[in-house]
Amino acid sequence: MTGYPLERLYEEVAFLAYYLHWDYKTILGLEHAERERWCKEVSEINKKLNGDENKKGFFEV
Amino acid sequence: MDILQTEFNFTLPKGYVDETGTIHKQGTMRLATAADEIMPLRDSRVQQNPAYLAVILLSRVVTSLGTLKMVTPRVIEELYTSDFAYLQEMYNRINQNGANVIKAKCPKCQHDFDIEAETLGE
Repeated sequence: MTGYPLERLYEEVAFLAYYLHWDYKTILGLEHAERERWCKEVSEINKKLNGDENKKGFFEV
Repeated sequence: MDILQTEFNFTLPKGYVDETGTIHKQGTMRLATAADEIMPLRDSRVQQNPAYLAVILLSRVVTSLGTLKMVTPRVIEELYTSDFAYLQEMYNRINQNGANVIKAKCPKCQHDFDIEAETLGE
């Protein structure tokens, strides 16, 4: 059985908590795909704000 | 955002036999969250034996099984090995693919396609 990579999981939870200020329980309750999607959206906003639209975001593989 | 299917039905190959001898085969599994993977790490049984993580995890995401009122770690522990393996594979499929499908590639034309996973568990 393959769990979600733990280090990556903590990174994603911390990323959303840092930028969105959602409470811990809410973020922990997001399904993996939905959490990944929000990380990608926040990452896109950051790229636009930083003028790095052509660079890969933190959560893009 | 696409509407995400979050719960998937299954039928265990053998089924869970309760103390009255009733067999429970049909059930539902939901998609996992970060909580499902992080919270069990605090459990002393998991700390003593990391392999127990799969038992706790499955007891959290299997939301129903037959007519059982609750799916506890004890229920998962008492499953036949083939049923336990079936649920572990299903967990991988739905959480990695977002659907109860097997990702496949045609060996002739290299076309990628999905095969619907066997729902009868056999």
